[in-house]
Amino acid sequence: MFSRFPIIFRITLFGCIHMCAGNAAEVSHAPVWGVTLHHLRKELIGGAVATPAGGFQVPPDAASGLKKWWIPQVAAMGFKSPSMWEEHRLAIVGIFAVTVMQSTLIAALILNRSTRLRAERAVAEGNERMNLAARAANLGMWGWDVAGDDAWMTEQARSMFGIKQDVRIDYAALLDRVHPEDRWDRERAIRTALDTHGEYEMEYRIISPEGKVRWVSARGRCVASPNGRGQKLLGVSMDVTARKELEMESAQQRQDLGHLSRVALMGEMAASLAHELNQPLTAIVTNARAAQRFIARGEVDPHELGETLEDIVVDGRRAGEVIRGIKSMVRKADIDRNVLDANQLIENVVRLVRGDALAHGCNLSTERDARPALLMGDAIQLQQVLLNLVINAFDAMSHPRCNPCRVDIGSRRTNDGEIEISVRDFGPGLSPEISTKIFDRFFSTKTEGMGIGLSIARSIVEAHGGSLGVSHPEGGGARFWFTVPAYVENNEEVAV
Amino acid sequence: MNGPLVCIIDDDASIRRSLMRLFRSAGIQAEEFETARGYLERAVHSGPSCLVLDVGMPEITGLDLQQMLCESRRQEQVIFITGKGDIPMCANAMKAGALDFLPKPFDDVELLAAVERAFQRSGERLSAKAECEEACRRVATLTLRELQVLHRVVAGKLNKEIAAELGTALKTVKVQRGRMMEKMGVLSVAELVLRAQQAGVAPVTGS
Repeated sequence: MFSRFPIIFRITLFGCIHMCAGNAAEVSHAPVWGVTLHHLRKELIGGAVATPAGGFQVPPDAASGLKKWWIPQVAAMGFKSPSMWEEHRLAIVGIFAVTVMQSTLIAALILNRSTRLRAERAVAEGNERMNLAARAANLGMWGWDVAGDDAWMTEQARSMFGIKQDVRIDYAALLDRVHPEDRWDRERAIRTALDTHGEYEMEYRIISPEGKVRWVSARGRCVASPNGRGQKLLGVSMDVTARKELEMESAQQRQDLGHLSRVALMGEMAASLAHELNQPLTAIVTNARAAQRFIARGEVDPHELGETLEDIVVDGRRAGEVIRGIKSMVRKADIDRNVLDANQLIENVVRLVRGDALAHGCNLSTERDARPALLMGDAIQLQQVLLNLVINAFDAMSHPRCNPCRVDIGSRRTNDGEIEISVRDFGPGLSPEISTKIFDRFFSTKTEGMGIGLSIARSIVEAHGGSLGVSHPEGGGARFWFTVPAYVENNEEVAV
Repeated sequence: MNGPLVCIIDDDASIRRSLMRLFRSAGIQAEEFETARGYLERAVHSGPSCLVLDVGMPEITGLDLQQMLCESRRQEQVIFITGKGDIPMCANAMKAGALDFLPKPFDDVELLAAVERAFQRSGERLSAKAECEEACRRVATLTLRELQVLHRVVAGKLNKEIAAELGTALKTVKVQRGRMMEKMGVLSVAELVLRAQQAGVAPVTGS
């Protein structure tokens, strides 16, 4: 086994060294069990001189030093050059470990990168889909960092607002685009959303750079900013110009229909109105002629004359009221909110229909609360509703001849704080099937009726926040009623 | 109060007031009523009377009232005033005996003229009625025989014929005739005939 080495010494398990006395020994490096040659060398070799063969010559006088070590003299020492591994084990392990770690790290990084790339691709794909969807739906997406006053907008949003691609957007830039009339309301909606950390929903007009007006419907949500400071408002906006235009057109048509129905009503009442004007006119002329006769007879009593003139003035004004009533019924007007007294409304309408009542052989009776019943609404429109109901009542009682021939018009305050105005007739009443259909557009029980009166009446009342209905009271006939919220002073809603 | 009286019936207060003033300025006695019912509750006026009546009134209309008066054979003359005059309404009213039909606003001169005409006619009717009543009263005072003689005298029969029909003597007939004429307050046969007609006595012809 030692043939591989230049045996100089023999080693036993005890680590003994045999040395040839007197000879120069070549010592080469070898790990000795339990003792390293390094130690040995230090002790033994001392002044050893390296030989070209790679060993050491131990000077004879150093041989005695060998005995220091407990190495029996028969021991042979084998020696092998330590391998790289043996010599630099730690370093190698260390390097290996480092290499392994580095490899692991690199692998992890590569893996991470590929995962990230995949994720990025997924995100990009998702974004692309979203953009496609947004473009298809004409949605613009935006986000506004409140603290930094910085907003981002998708391409779609930018083009909606007419802002160039690379221009920085801040609150002021957006506000600039908003129609002046809508600015305040929009501002208020945004502020509310931010204060309540809630949702923002608003429809407003913008003016494009070319000066065209477009309608935008915006919806947003408040989120906390990622860096922990302040809030962000994120949302979508949609161009709803087409829808808005349709809405306005349909509202216009509804108004036209309302106007038409009013004109039709007025046509029906023309004869009645002529009569209403005739009464005061007749009285005026008769009074004036009487005064002239008194004067001609030389019987001038100033007191009497004064009374006569007073009567003339009163009747003149009465005629004026009727004219005003006609004009207000026919004039096209947008809904106009004022504080009204329900009793006054009733009086106005009664004045208009008195002649008609006589023509139908009906009595009109009014019943009301002594206190004024105040409500917020449009006088013209509500009078139109009441007029419609009253004329319907007359028609209901024309055939067959009714008993009693009376229409009761009343006003009262309901338990829910609303004002109710009702018209009750003593006609044949309504069957259950007709009761449900009667408010439908174009349904009419009259042969010449266009059937638009009650459905328009219902839309007017509902636009006022009330409701219109019919009931079947004891004693026969039908009772049409409508309610409108009562006017309450110092109510927040009134301020708007 | 026997003088001519005009009664105004209209549910419109200003028109009533103005009409009262007008009649006062023309020196005509007038009273006003808001409803037909109110007028019916008033005692019948003994002198010539005229109604200025609005057609369109609640409950009892002007035309209804005219109908009622006709049925009760009252003597008032009716003048209609109305804000809603249409031709059928007017025709019906006139056929039912109205004196005039004036749509509002009316001309006061026309109205006053109509009222005068109404008073005239009403006066005539009243006197005619009075005369009839008088004639009736007188006829009631006749005895049976006198009545029989009356019937035949107005039929144009000679005394001789009457005597033969009644089976009495000629002289008796002459006496009865004389008494009858006196009771009837007439001086000629012509007048007698008139009175007999007024009293609704029909001439008897044949035997």
